[in-house]
Amino acid sequence: MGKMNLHILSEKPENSSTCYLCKTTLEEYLSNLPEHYDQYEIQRSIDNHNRYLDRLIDTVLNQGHIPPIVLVVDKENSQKPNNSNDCLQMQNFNILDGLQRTYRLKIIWDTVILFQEYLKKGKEFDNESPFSLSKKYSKYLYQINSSSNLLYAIVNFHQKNGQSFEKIFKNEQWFEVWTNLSVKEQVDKMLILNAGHKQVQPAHQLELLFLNLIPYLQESKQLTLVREKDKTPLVHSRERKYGQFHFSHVISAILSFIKAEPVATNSYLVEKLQKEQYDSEKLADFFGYSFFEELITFLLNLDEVSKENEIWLGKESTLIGIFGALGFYRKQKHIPIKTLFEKVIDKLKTTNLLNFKSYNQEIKSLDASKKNIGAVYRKAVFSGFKDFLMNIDNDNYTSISWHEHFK
Amino acid sequence: MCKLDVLYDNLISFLENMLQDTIVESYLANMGNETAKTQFESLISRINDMLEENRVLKTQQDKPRIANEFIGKIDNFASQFSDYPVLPIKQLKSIAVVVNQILDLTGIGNDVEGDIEPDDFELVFNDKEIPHTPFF
Repeated sequence: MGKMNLHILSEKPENSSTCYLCKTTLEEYLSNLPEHYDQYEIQRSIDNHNRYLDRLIDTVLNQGHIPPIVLVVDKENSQKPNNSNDCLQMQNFNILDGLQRTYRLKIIWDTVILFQEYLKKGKEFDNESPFSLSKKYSKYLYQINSSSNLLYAIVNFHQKNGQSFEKIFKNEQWFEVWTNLSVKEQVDKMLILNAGHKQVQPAHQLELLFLNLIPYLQESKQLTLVREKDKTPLVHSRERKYGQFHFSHVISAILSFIKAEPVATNSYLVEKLQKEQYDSEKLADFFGYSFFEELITFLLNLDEVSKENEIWLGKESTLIGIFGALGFYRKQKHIPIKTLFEKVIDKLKTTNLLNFKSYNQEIKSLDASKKNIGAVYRKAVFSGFKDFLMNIDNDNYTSISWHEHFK
Repeated sequence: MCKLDVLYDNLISFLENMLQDTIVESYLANMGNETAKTQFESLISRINDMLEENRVLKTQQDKPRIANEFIGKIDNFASQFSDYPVLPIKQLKSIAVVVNQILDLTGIGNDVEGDIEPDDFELVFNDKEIPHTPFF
């Protein structure tokens, strides 16, 4: 991956950062995309039925206008060569707004390259139908996430116009480039950008926060986030190892912490969250970098004290029960999150409060055919953990009496 | 044999039957309307893309891609070209639903216990409604 050169059209300072309005060619942009630019694309679920994006191929081939893309880059990855006022050089940038468009543009770019390679090899494309193209090339198109219909559009364009694709990708694209933003500022900008487009659900906001902060936090810690695309929650709950947490479970644990009660991720919750109004900026303030750092430290410490029962923290019901109780206690006592997390871990390290032996006995005695097991687990964990927290300063409280909470 | 292969192989062979060159070409040859022809070619090639994707994924022992987009395209095709001669919609959709459920429950690479291979049994679909006799 090389450095991308952009022509600066205008600039605007904001606090310690600067926003540049720039232009460059599609070719310059697409050939210098960072290797993992789309690493969280699947998590944000690409909309494969978006008609505007499906027609992006027509816009590209007709050299039409594609709305500006917003990029963000660290100070060390951007420079003005020879202190030039109109040239910006950068690498390793992130896409704040325009990820879906970029993803599609990259597919078009890769498909054109593939097509040109086939032409060089002397392959004939006269009178090929989309179906025959699919039969011949789809296994190769699949490797670049492309489709036979896209290849057909490219072949058709080439046959009608006979012109080289070079001109197409020399078309200029506008960019807003933010430089010198801190990680927190980058995330805040992302939330504001998304909020400007449509109401952002809290779960999606948390997802954005996580996906941008986690790489920085993971560097120094042993936490591994398991994604839905890698393992379903059910499979994860059976196979989890120390330090592994399912992404969706952590999101619902945080939502439970906010609500001060267990919040399970079901369709009712999704519907409810969609109806509720949240102030994006306030939420971003609350869930800043330090919160996530404290949360990850707490999760790893909690895992450490639960080592004799690794599967325990693999269940959503356990995490949302614990975090619902923590949220409840925090609301009651008005103590800072960091103090709360440290206090809980200190107590759990020195005692056998979690009492897994009794917990496992209760689990074994449940009749799976008669009850909603998930609901029973989360209610019991919430109630048990809440009981422990309410007695956290009581030296006579030595272990959670699970039998009482599974009733 | 992986648990999901109990049905996954059947899904691939239903698709292969549906997408035979001779059947597609003969159906296309009898179509008069150019717009419908374009729509048919676009959809049938997308379905063929999905068959090829799944063949590759199967070779790589990777997770099948037969969730929402797959079912959506199959439905769309069936509603627009209901007179297409080989239209195993019920079979494709029901297998996709079950395979996706197996994936959710067991993940990929979860072997069936015992020496069972896909050729050991035949998957049969009822063409007619099963009559329900009231108990009372």
